[in-house]
Order: sequence, then structure tokens, then C-alpha cells
Amino acid sequence: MDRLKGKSAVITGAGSGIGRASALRFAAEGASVAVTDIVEEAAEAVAEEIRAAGGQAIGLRVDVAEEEALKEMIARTISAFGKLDILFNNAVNTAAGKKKRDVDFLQFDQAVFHEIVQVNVLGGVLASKYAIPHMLERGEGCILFTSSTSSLGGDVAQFSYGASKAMVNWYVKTIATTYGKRGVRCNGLIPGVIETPAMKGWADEKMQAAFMALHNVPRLGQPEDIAALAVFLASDEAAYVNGALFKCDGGITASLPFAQLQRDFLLPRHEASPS
Amino acid sequence: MRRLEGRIAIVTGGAGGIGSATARRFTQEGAKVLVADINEASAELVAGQIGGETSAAGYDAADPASIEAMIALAVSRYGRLDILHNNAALTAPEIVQSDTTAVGIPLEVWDAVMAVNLRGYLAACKYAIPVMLSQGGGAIINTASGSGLVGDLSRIAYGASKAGAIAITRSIATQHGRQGIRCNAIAPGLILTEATQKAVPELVSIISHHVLTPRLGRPEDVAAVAAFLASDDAGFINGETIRCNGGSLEHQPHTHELSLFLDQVASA
Repeated sequence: MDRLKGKSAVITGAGSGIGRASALRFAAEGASVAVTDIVEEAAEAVAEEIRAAGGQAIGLRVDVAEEEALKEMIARTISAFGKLDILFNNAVNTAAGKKKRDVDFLQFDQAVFHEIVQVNVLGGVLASKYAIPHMLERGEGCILFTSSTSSLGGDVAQFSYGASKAMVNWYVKTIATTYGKRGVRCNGLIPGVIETPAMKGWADEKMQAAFMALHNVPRLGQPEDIAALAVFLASDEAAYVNGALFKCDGGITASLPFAQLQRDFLLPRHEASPS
Repeated sequence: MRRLEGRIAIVTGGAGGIGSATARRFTQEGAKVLVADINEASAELVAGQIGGETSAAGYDAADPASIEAMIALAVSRYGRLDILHNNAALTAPEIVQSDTTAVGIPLEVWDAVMAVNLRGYLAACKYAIPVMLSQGGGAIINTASGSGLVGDLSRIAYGASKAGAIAITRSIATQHGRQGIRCNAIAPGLILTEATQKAVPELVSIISHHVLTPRLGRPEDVAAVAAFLASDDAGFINGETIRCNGGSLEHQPHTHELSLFLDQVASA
């Protein structure tokens, strides 16, 4: 497939999980990809994987917490590929390793909040700041942000992470509102529970089974599911989709939160249900 | 792209702007499509233009027996059913013009709109889902509307029917998702079809201030979303309502006026 043929893309946090799957898929769809990650070897490994498959890619170490690094990331992508069509802001700080500092509201730590917002919000906003002038000059461009179902409902943990993703949603709409008429589309992806290395790192088997029980599809999400959505949103196919927050969550937010838990009680009453 | 190779699809309202674009797109992606419409001659014309193994059927979305027969026809003609795109809507001018406000709408107009736009979708799902389940799954796409998400100055029944379409989308996803049925909706905003251009041309310029893309929507934009939702690329998307509206519900309603004001301040 070649839905991104001739396009140039930069993806942050592309060394693993959703970012990596997206980089591979973008390249398979014909895009030249700047694969960036805070872990240089991870970025380079994904770029090498793309090149080995015959695609065009560069690997860059980028810490999205540093404005200068973002400015350079945009400039280097443009100089490598001659232009920039797609900016996919995907890098995230989940406060893994500092989990304990984001799970007890009464231990709320401003430092953790600022650190998370710096990466999850400002990382994408500042990258957009440097990408948009180039996109306006060319009269077209596409910006994607990875948000999260955490942005949509209250939670008992992730007090900084969830808030950061809610902020991302606002910037998605605002960039679309400010620059849409001039050709820059901006959309947000809202993954639900995705089997990434990060997720498997923190959720034990019982927690993963609990997630599975709540879904309206017979499986958990894979990074490739989000990559497929990212390709759609980045392609000209989605020319009339702008400012949208696109859920890819196995239907988990489309139901009453306890809907699937009632199966044993309600399904026997559905005589016609072919369950 | 051939993401729907070998799949069998039904597109209802398939002779209209969005429906014919979707039928064409599904066919280009490799599907065989039954173009179902109340206007059988138009459906035949569309199917003939598309060519391939795509064919036409006349049916009446207000009549559940006719819907059941139409689904059965698709299955008997093509041997299975993978994709149902519910897209038929009541567009008869005398109905649309009487679909006004809570006070003004004749109740028989309300019933007529609901019979086609909402019960018609439900009935198609009712008869299609067992076929899909017997094959291990399928994809349903319901054409909703921005009118199902927010209030409007007229067309109270249309808005309610579209809100209902969004509600049944979520329920079907919840009730049959784990059995392999994905059910999603598309909420188009302003799409320039022959029907919209004829209806109220002066509204197009008002609405376009609120469309955050350089151009207005085309039926092909909705068809592209439908093809994505019908394909395995959307395998983890269920119960969703996708807005295909150029962003026209994503901004503060005052942004057009505020831009003009800011320009004025800047140039003063």
C-alpha cells in the first residue's frame, strides 16, 4: 500500500510500542520517516529496520523535554527529506519508575506533574511550533498527537498523566482551529489499553485479564492498531477529518463501564442472543 | 487499495451522494456491493456505472419486511455478508420541510422520519447480524450526523433519529463486539452533495466559516472513512462515532468573529 507515498514524517517516541509500529507502517506506506526517541539506539534500530526493508529512514536521539532538540529535530527532518508533511507527537512520559509518585493524590508531587506535562504536552506543542511555519509555507501539513482514554474520565491514579492528556486534547482542537483553513490538519489518537512493552511492564496478569473483560472486542489492542489509525489520519483519505479525537479502544468508552461485567446476568435473558 | 478484497457489502441509500460514493469506494477496495435504495432505477444506474460484480436492489427502509428481503437477497446473490453500511435517510422534500420544531412538527412526520432513519437501521442490523455471526463476524457502519450530537434550529426529528443511530451503534458494539461484530458510526458535517446544494444554498457560506479545512466536504471523504472502518485497519475500533466534518464541532463557536476582531486590532 502506498497511502503515504512521497510524504515525509517525523515520529517522536518511535523507538518502541505505538511509535515504533507507526514508523514501520508509515514506511511501508511509502513515507520517509525520521524515527526519534530519547534512547538513541532504539531510534537507530527502528530506522535500520526500515532501511533493511527498502524504506527511507533516519534515526535521531531527541529528548522532547528540550525545546532546542525539537527545533533541531524539525530542521534535520526537513534537510534529510526536503520537506515535512507529517509530525506525529507520540513521545510520552508515563512516570514509570516514579509510579508511586503519581498514584496517591495526597502525595501529589508538583515536580512529577511538571516533568510529565513538559514531555506529554509541551513536547508536542513546541514541536508543532517549529513544524507549522514550514507547513504553512507549503500550504499543507498534518499533525498527530497521541492522547489517551485517560484524558476522558476520572481516575484513581495517574493524576498528572491523565491531566496531561486532557491538555493534549485541547491543543489538538486549537491547532486545528487556528491553522486548519490554511491547510494544517491536526488530530488526536486516543488509544485504549494497548499491549505495549510499557503496559506489560506495569500491569500484572490479573490486571490485564480485567482489562480484557471490559472490552467490546475479543482481544486487547496492539500497537499496529494505532499505527493503522495514524496512517489513515495522516493520509489524504482523512482530508475532511480535523480537530478530531479518534478513539481506538476496543469500544471500552462506548459502553456503560460495567456493561460487559453483566454478561452472566443479562445474556441468559436474551433468548435470541446467539452468544 | 484492496483492503476489502472478496468482502460482500450492502450500502443502503446507495443511489444518493454519500451512498454511491461509498459503494464505488468499497468496490474499488475489492468488495462486491449491493447498492440498495428506494429508487431502484437510480440504484441500477449507480451499480451499472460502478460495474464489476456490484449490483442493485430496490427496497423500502420504512418497511421491515422489505429490509429483511433485501438482506436475504444480498446473501443469496453473493453467498455471505461482511459489511453493512446503513446510510438511507428520508429525504422527501415534503417531509424535510415539515420536520421543524417540537411545536411545529406534525407527529406523523416524526414517525415517518424515525421509521426510515432509525428503525430502518435497527431492522437492517437485526437481520444482518445473525448472518455475520454465522460467519464469525462483520462490520456495520451507520451514517449518523453532526445533528445527532448537537442541537439545530430545525429538523428536530432528523437530529433525534441520528442521535438514536449513535446510541444503537454503541449498544450493538457492546452487545455483539465480543462475538466479532464491529459497529461504528460516521457523523458527517457539511458535505456538498446535490441534495445539500439544492436544499439551502445560502447556509453553505455560513457553515463554511466553521469548517476548519481549506475546502468543504465531499461524499468521497465520507466514503474514505467508511472504507477505513470497514477494513481490518479498524479492528480495534468499536462503538465509535467518527466525525467527518472538517473540524466544524471542535472549535469555540466564536472563533471566526474573534479572528476578524484580532485582525482589526492588529491593523489599527
